[in-house]
Amino acid sequence: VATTHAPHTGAAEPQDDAAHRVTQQAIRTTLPLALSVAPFGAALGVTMAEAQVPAVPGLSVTAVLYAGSAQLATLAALLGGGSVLGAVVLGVVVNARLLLYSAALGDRFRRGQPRWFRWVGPTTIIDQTVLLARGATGLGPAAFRRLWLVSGAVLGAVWVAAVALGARLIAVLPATEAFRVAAPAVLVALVMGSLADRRHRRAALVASAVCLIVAPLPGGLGTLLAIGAGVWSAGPGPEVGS
Amino acid sequence: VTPLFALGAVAAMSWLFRVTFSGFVSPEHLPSAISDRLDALAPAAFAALVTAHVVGTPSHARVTTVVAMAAAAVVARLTGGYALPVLAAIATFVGLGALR
Repeated sequence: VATTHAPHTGAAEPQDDAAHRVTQQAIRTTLPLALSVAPFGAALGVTMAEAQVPAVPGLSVTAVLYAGSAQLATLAALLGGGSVLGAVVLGVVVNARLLLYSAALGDRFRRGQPRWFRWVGPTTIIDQTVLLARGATGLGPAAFRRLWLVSGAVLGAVWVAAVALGARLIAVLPATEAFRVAAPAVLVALVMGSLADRRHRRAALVASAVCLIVAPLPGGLGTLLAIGAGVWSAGPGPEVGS
Repeated sequence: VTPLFALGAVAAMSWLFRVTFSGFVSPEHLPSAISDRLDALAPAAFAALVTAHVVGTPSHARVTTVVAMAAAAVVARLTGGYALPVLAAIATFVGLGALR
């Protein structure tokens, strides 16, 4: 379609078409993922209401933090009577895996990208968007930037709306405990979608096995150790071009 | 104010983690022993997070959670999507809870 119209309207038209296609692809890929994390968002909203976090600032910090598990861990620690410092440390440790994600995706935010994107783009790095980025191979810098920003905006909008809904419906939501299986269920779906490679299967298996042993370590440290063991067990990947 | 302060601090630290290798340090400076393995990070992280959730579940709900995760895995394998596995997990959790 793009090449059919190009001779009549100039060179900008195919670029617009390509950008439009990337936007559509981003929405199509992200929307089901965003809707699937909505129940977890609602559960988080319930917890925020329980912790008496004011609505507007609470939703603002939800959008900026952009990480449900760390937010839930921090709030749960405070609700359990923990100190502010302890709750912050817990949330930071839960999110320490973002450092690893940053290492894995750093090149996508640097190579061929404008300077602002290095600082703004990674704001939406999270488990789900890491997988979206992994699936976005073959895109040039501009197309990746558009895909990433649209995906992050869609995921963030649905996420914040779900948290707001949960906070509003705290009195009528049934079986909130059931909503707490939503987040790990999304992760299960992500795991199942990332096991095509034998090294990745080994990484997932070893990480799970190690986590069974070390998960009780305080502050999410066990999870970090398990991730490290899983990644290490995968061994070096194939050489580029081999 | 206290929860907001705590969440703000976590948000600031999380942002620093996120921009470390795009804003401050080039990933090329990572030792090859690490960078060669980073493609396996996502499956390892997802698997560990699921296991940590199951281990951290109160014992009375652990079996139900494991079965719900298994249902999510089967549906994810069959459909390849995200929404249906979540619905399957919630339905399984609620259904098993009602049977007890």
